[in-house]
Amino acid sequence: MLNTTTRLKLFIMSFFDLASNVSTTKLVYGNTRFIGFSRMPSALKTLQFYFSKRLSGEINREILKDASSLSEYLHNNVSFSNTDYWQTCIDHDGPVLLVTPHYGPFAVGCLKACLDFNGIRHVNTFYDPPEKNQSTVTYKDVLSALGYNFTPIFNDRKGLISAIKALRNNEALTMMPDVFEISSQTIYVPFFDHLTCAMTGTAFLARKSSALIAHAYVRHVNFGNIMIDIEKPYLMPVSENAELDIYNQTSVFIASLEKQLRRHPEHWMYLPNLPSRLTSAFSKNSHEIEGKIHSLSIALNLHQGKKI
Amino acid sequence: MSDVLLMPRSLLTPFFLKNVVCRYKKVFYISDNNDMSKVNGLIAVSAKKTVEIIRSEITGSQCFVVSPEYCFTTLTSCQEFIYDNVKYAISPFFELVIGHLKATTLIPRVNYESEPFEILSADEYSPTEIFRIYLRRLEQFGDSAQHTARLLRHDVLVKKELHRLLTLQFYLMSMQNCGVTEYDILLIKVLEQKKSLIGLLGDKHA
Repeated sequence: MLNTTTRLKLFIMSFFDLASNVSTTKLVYGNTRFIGFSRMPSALKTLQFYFSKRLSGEINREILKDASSLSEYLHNNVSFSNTDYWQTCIDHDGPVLLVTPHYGPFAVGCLKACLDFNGIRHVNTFYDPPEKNQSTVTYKDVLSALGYNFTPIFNDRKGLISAIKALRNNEALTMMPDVFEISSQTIYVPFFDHLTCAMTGTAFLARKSSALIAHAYVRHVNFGNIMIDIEKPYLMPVSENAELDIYNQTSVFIASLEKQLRRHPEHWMYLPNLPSRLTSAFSKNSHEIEGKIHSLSIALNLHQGKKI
Repeated sequence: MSDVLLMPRSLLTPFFLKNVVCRYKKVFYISDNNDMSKVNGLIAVSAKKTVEIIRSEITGSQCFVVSPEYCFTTLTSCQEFIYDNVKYAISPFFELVIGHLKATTLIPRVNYESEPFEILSADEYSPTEIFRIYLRRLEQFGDSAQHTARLLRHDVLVKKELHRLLTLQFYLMSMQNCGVTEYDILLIKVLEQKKSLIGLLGDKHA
């Protein structure tokens, strides 16, 4: 899809990006250090952040320009870290939920799903409508570039019903766990030893549909190919306590994202914003937790007059 | 005599402090984290200690320096008022300090000839009126003071409380995960309160 000259040009431009976007460069470098990388790897990953962004943007532009060789590209240049896991998703009888954040060329990952699931199950992608989030303006055109097996579903009340229907029809649905807003669906879950906002919608859909869940992270490798890091597919554990199930499952989604970022943070679109996504550090010690429950419930006027 | 000086933390400069410290025998700065304890002439006290001092009715020339943005407040205990079409929240602690002491309030001025503070008597001004004047003065001080004014908004308090609530929800869920059931009723209350707080932020969030 991108020839060697284009890739080389984008690589060189990444150096200019590194030098000219001083504040972003500092943020990305600082956040990579925060994640746990030492100085030299952090500097390298900062450069890779810009390169990954440029490559992803250029691939999307190429897809929109000319998609005639897209299926060949997806077949030859996009592979999975574990083909057995992907085969499990293909062979699964019921619905499939692909959990993939704003990471690398995620659109290519969705297109790969459309290609491989063709004739087996329809692929739906759940995202914010462009009126709500301008960055999704090109999503529909890019994701439907193959011309088959794809339906966009917008993140609104009508969209939620469509998502449930799609999963009931044993179709595939892609969800992005790294998007949040403050609503009754918002909870705090652990993320890099702090708490972060997360939405319970994905876990809600998983529980309702008993879909097979697979975490997938799409990234550039080998100066031109794309690797989809896929984790072992699983079914969400279900108990009688729906709230707890949904909380635990949402924690699992974010824990998976954290694990991927500890290996390859450079492809995550929100890497510069990492600190703003973290609230307080959390305690693991049970005595401290009880103390925090006590003081917070007093502060919120929920205390019942005795130490709980 | 006890007076109250309303001063945003960002404006607590040596210049203003000099003008305050020379007027009183004791100058207390109300802070729960002791960060001002090393500033000359200021005695850093916690909110709890302040209440003790007020209740002890010790006489003598003293002043309490209060940064309203650091006064702990909750939605259920705050007093709301509207200023410039925006809803603000006054901490009950602030009302206690001014109301109980019947204190004269000092508010810093940007431009002045001789007196750097606007002096408001408790006999003539209610806490709400004093707060309105304080917000008006903050507008004249520039960006950082205006940022301080934003921290006093009611919707900011709602978000702070939501943060506390979500944190509490997290810990309660952690306990449930460990099989501890004694917090189940509290969790139900948390979820109810969460719904009403989200409602306060606007219908679209509910």
